[in-house]
Amino acid sequence: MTVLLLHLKKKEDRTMNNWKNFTKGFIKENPVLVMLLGCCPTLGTTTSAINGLSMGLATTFVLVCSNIVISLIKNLIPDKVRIPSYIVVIASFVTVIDLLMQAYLPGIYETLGLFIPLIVVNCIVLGRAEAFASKNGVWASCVDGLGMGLGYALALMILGAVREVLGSLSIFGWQFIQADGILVFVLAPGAFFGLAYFIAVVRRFNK
Amino acid sequence: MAKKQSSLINMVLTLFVITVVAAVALGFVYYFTQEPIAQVKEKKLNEGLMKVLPAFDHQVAEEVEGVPTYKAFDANEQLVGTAVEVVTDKGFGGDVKVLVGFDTEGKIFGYTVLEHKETAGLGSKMGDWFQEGGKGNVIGKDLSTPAKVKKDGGDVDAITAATISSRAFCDALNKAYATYVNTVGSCVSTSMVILTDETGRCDTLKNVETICKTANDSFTVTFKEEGGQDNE
Amino acid sequence: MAYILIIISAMLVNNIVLAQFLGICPFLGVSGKVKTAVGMGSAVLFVMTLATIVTWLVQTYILNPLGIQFMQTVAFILIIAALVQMVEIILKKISPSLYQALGIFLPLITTNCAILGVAILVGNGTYNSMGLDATSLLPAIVFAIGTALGFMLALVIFAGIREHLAKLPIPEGMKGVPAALVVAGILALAFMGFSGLV
Repeated sequence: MTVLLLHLKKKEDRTMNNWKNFTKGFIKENPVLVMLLGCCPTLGTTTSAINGLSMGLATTFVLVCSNIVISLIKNLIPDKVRIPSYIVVIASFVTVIDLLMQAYLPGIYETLGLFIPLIVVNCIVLGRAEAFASKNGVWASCVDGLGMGLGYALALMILGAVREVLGSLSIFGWQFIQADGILVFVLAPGAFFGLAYFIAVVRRFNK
Repeated sequence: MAKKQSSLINMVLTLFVITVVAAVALGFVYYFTQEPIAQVKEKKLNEGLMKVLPAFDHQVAEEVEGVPTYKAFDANEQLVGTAVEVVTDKGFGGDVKVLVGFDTEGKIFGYTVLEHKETAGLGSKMGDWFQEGGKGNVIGKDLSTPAKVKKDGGDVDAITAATISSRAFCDALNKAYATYVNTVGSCVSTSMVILTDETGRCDTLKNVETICKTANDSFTVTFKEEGGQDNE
Repeated sequence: MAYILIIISAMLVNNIVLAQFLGICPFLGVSGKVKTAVGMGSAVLFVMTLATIVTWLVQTYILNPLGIQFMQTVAFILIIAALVQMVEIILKKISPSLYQALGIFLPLITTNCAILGVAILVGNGTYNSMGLDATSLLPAIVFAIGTALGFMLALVIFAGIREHLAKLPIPEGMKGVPAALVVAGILALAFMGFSGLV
């Protein structure tokens, strides 16, 4: 009986952990807003909500897949060639999403352009591989990748939405006022300003 | 399972195996996505051609001095229009790629901007601005007098606050027309044509109205009264 | 003349940090002091030029003839990682003084997306080559140098401003990165003035 109870408790603990593991990426350890990783695509692709979301989801795909594979093969890799091996795994999944988007989402692929292959050097992906997947099991790594990736996607989507609303007076492509917005928000400077205030706001919440 | 030792052979072997597995896997993905990617490209091209040309049945692609051109024919093999894909480097943010369609008389039938890096909200408006109903409508324009923005003494209304982008657009139109003339032929109004052959023999044609260069480098001459045609 | 235009375009008009958003991590991370900014800038100049040459050779003589362009990302990132390691080892042996100056920045460069970004742009021939053949080597090298100079310029200006920023009273929530991002935004506005220059 006690054994069973203990077992149940252990199981509950694990689900709790998984849940925590999943949600930490959204606010508390949000990769871009708190840990300041992956800033380049954050600034470069968030000219609209849909662009930010697609970039975030593409990154999530790579993050989840590479986390799974790396946690599977972590014991087969000698320590000294750890990083190059991880990079090859990540680069392969980046190429997969690159080809898939070219084939099935050509419109979005064109807007995101160079930033798709550059997911390779997004510090979030290698960072999670090194910090989490190389030390944890497959399931936990998968959840970690999914949580972090979706947290990243959410941040990109919100930033994209804010810039789209202010800059072109539309949201998810739907124009709600037929006029020009504050153009600077869809241009380069607006990306920097938007991210700056976004980080400041999240800091306030995390306190 | 214990972690592998970092001996040289282990390291080289691991990296090699991982890279080979990755390459094979990518080869597979590439093999399966190749066809959809090609289809996407073709679909995009066809949609572009449909936008800039009169209704056509099939098209023939060819390169004229490195510029891609597409001749559109109807079901009776009759030429209905020609589209030229041009790139100009005069844009504000870099290259601008435009597909320009001409009808059989050499007038602009339609255009579509394929690629540009112009400023969002300013130069990026060129996709609509110069269309029929837009403020700087160029549809139906005859480019035998080159397109120029009003600021440069032409008659094209430039996009507000984006003169450079508009100039680039005009440049693209003019380049496209130059290629079009090379493929389909252009006509020059004149009254007399002097013909020479390899031996230096000369002949003069009088009462000429126009002389046109056609695609296969022959000339068609139209006369004023007799209405006869002469090919050389 | 076209080469000068490539440099101006890559350095000022399409500045890699302020207009293309590449290399933001080192831009925010290392730009506390002008001196370190110059060091990082030189390291990037060196590696970017070298990486562009090597990846161009690989693209032209291996990937394109074999028709395996889809291996581009994997190949380029491995080349850059290996190159950075090699540069580090060679510099250590040949010029310890230069190694002292650049050494600490080199490991950071592997994950600098500006390097991979430029390599891919050159490999695909999709950079602004001012009418020159984008697939030949010399314009590519000039483009890489111009881009790296632009990176250095942005980094040094930014570091100069941040040195002063440290002395200002800034609201708690905006301290550090947010304030730096606002400065970067104003710099980006200033650099927009260059657009249309070439």
